[in-house]
Amino acid sequence: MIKLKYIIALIALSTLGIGCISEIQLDTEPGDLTTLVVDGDFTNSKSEHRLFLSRPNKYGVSKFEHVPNAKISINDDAGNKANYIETLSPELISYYQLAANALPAVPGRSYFIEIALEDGTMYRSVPQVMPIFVPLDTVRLNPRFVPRLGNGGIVVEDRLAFVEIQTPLPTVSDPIYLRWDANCVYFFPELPLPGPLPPPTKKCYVTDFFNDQFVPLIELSNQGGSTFKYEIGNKFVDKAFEKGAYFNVIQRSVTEESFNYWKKLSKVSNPEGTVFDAPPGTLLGNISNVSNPDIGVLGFFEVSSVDTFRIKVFNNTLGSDFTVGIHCDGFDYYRGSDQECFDCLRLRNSTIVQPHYWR
Amino acid sequence: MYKTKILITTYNYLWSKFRVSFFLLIAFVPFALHAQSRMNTSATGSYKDKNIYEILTGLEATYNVRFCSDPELLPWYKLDYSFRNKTLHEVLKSLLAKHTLTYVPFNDSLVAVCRLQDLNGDYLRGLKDRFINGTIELPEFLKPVERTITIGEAPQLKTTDAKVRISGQINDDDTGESIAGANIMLNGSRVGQPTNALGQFRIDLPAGTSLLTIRYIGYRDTKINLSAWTDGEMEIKLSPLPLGLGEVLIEGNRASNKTQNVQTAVEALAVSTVKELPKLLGEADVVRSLSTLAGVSNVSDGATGFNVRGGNVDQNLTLQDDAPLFNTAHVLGLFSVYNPDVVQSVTLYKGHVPAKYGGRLSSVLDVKLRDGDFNKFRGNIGLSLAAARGRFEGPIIKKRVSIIAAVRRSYSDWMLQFAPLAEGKNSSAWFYDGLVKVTARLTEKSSLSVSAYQSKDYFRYGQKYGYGWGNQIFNATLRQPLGDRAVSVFQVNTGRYNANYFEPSSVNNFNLTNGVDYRNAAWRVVLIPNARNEINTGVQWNRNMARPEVLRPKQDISNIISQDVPKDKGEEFAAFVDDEFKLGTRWKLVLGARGVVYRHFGEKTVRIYKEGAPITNENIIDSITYRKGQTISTAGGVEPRVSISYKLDEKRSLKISYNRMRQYIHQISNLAAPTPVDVWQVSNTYIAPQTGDQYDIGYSSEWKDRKWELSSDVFYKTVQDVPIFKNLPDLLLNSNIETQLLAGEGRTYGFEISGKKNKGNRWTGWLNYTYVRTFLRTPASVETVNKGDWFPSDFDQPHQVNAYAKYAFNPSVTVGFNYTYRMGRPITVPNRVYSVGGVIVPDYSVRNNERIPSYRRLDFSLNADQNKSRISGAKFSFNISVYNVLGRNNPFSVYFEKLQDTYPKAYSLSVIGSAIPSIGMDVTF
Repeated sequence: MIKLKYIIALIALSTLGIGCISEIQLDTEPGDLTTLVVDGDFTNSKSEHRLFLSRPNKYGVSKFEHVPNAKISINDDAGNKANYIETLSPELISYYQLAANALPAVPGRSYFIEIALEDGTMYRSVPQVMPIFVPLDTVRLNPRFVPRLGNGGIVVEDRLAFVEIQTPLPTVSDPIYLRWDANCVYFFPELPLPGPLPPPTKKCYVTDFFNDQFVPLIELSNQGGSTFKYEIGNKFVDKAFEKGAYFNVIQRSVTEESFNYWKKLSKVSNPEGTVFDAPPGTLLGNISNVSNPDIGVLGFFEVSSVDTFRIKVFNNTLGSDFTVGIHCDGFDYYRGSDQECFDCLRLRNSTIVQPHYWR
Repeated sequence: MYKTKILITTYNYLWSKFRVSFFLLIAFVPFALHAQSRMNTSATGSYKDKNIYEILTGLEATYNVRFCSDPELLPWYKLDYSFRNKTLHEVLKSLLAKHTLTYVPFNDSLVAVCRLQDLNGDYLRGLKDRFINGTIELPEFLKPVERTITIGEAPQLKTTDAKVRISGQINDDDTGESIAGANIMLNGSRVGQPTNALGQFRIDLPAGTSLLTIRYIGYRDTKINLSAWTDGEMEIKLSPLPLGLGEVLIEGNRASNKTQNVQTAVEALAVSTVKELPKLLGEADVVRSLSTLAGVSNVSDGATGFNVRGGNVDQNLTLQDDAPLFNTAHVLGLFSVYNPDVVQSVTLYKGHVPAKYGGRLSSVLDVKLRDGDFNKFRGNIGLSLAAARGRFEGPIIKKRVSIIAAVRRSYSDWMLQFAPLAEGKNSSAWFYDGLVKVTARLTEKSSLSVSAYQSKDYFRYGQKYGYGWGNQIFNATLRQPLGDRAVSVFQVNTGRYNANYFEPSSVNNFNLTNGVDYRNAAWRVVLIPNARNEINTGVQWNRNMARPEVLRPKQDISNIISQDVPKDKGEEFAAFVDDEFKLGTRWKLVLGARGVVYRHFGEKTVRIYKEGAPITNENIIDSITYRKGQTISTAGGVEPRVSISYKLDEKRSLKISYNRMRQYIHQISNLAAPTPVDVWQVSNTYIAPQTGDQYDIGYSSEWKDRKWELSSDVFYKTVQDVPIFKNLPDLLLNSNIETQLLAGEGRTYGFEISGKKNKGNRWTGWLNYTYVRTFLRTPASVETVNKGDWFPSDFDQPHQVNAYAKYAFNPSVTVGFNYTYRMGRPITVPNRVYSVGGVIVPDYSVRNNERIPSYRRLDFSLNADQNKSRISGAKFSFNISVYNVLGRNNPFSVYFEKLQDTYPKAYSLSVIGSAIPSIGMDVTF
């Protein structure tokens, strides 16, 4: 992967407006699309554990084929074992589910999964020890204007809300590895379609995985007893804030192997452009093909301790400079399209199922 | 009537164009009306390699007229000029106009020749008076040096087939120093024999009288009327040209004569050519100029370093007065650290590499710096859009001790004010470099020179991040003769390359530093036991100590934890010998070898990995701690170097060479264009030295006194143990970098064709085509890249074309066009995607599976250089260049970026995407 900052440096130097970035089309031959991709975790969370099995797809395609009819089990070092069940979500997404209480989640205990595909191929993850629990104390939003170069070289300022976490660190001798998942769920009521007999309107709950190519994570050593503050990402201030939005932050205490995996994944999927960027290559995780070790497996099975924090934010929470106009009144289309105003399921990650925490 | 009309037309022309005073016409028309018969006599003549004064002297005899002129004010450059059946009027008009000269006949037999700007009555009257009074002084260097030497006595009976063998020594008339590479030409021939490294020559002549002409850059031509009747010896002293006029002569050194030279694929780049090539932001640049040669390329505009025949940047040994440079880039690669004002010669060895060089696989760039002037103080000041330069030199003790000092400082910060983003405006970019060199002549043939060089670069992008790097070199060289047939050179160098990367203001602000310290010493002897052998031998010691990688928070609030990662140290002990000898008149050979013992030494704790298993953190079974200086591992071996040349005739030669080279220090970079902070890693227990074997077959030919040259080379190279990084490695701040690398193999093959027109009154230039393929593969094991198959290296650019054409209005006013084409280099792009944790992950499962678009660039330059015409006083030179005339967006690389809610897209990035005009000027005094 290119070291973008080095390049930006070159452009900045040679500018006088002479540097140039332009989109190009590449017609690259696709790689092996039969490789198994494993994506799942096991945590101390009170909710179900999900595991996805899929195949890669051509570059440029965002849909991934589900691998059905697999037999998956999770094992711990105490000899306990539990099986996953293949299921379908309300959004019609297939996955494998493990009930929350199917296997006790105990920090210090190690866990691994075994996967048997329909064709008899066996896969196994490297056992991981569940790390200690690190509580998440609070979450807040810091609004800022951030300039960027828009079309035609014009500088535009984006309105961004930066999500800051604060967490008290336990006193331990070993390093602590933290990773965060964060999303924003907002409410989007449809407008009635024009015409004499419009169908009834729906109310959607839309999830924005802000910075969805960026994986916030950090390694902390010898900071026990202190409160750690960190901006884990940002989100455009847009229609999500019109009628109130929930920001959900999941803080994961992960293993060193998991930290290294996600660090590389983050750099592959979202290069920062620093000299620390990983060069391109295939990222292999902790799953191996038992039947044929020469065949690589993509993805990772993570064992972690998690804590969740949720805040609700309204249009005026961030101050008047960050107030967004009404999206569907035809005057302020900050993002999105008018079609979304009449069919809110067109929005990405949209559902009519109200989250259990929604008030 | 017709003749009168010509004169009137001439005067009208002068009047209209140059506003000659009416007085001038009144004063000289009466004379001119008589100046008819001789001026209109037709004649034929031809002059080669003569200056204007010499041509005028020749015309005096042809037309029976006298010319009065101020030789000091006439251009001193040399020309070829021919005419057939032309009157003197026609000859003078065609000869003088393009050199901004004119003429005025005083009478039938006396014609004034002067510069256009001097054309007025007072000047012409004064010129005529001085001519009549005989007070016009001819500059000393325009007078030919002629000597008569007699060896033996003429026999009573002359035999026609007797031969004599004359041995000679050529020395500097001022200092007595021997002159290597001076050319001895016989009886008007332009093909001569060069003196050896001790300034000696031997020539077989028919007994009797011969005319020898001796030429060398920076010296007056010397003609010897030799009467030789027996074998004998003679000493010839060459007089140096004054005021550095020799600096701007285009003649190359020994390496530039490919037909006569025994080595394959050696290129000499004249400093004058470097200065004439189109410039970026007005700065002449040695490294950028190299990319106009066959087989030499770089990644794109702004790339650090250069690539030779598809090799990595770190596989080039870049020397400055024999001291290595680990980063030749200024301003992230837009310029190089070599200051052309102090460069004496630039030689690039890309085929046969003499045994005195070692430690890198692809090429050796040997840049030699000038000594200061031992007789007079002089210097130059230069300005361009990017930097200011100054050079000063002169004698500390006349003819005994000289000094040269040069400094460059950029003022490129102002350009950043045009950046559209605030970060750009608040950025900073600057560099400087400085050199001081003192040379003392201890005796007539021994000298000691001491030099110190420092360069520094700084770049900060807003308050976000930045780079800094610099080179320091201290050098001392002692040369002294060992008897009459040998000269020894003892040299010590010590230096440092340091670099840092910093992010000054983020929550995780930090500063990362690394670099290399080195020490080396060499003792070389050039021995000429007889006229057929020239032996270069010596011993070298070279120690490279990679500096620790140090990570520090820049401010107290940073979350960054300090880290110190010690790096390895290694040293080479080498002995070498080369013998260049002749077999008969057609065969020339260089047989050589270099023996190297390398050791990697402590202090260090070395991991022991499970035998036969991949070198990974999971396979550590033990560790051993070595104390400071203790040998940890050794490597090395003998490197044969052979080159054979066969002269098909005087103008054509065939060559073949074989080299083995080993490289003990490697730049571990994951980007095609290395960044300043890429780690330098010496060979250790697990990282073997790279070993390269190169075979080269070359053909060279020339026509018309080297006016035209054609050369071609076919080459094949294999490399063992080339470091190839594993998938997604951690290369920085890694104390066990061997876990991130695989020892691969490489192969390169291709050919180069180069055609040159070296001489001509109008057009000169060259056209090069290179076809080169470079592939790598990892050995079959658990960990491979591309399943162990051959894949193209980062620098595999199969088709490369360089063309340069220069049109001379006169030798000091030229325009040049430079064209470069290179096929796009390979890059790795994602060929599939998958989803993990809600993140769409691009997968790069095949390395170097695509190519960026090809590179094409056309440049233009206009040069006006008084150094080539004016003899005395301050001399100005101007350059106007347009870099990338066609404004093409030549890609530096392709990267992928995901904007909000979009799929990651491919973007082509061009560092220079438009035409860049620039102007530069220089004044020499």
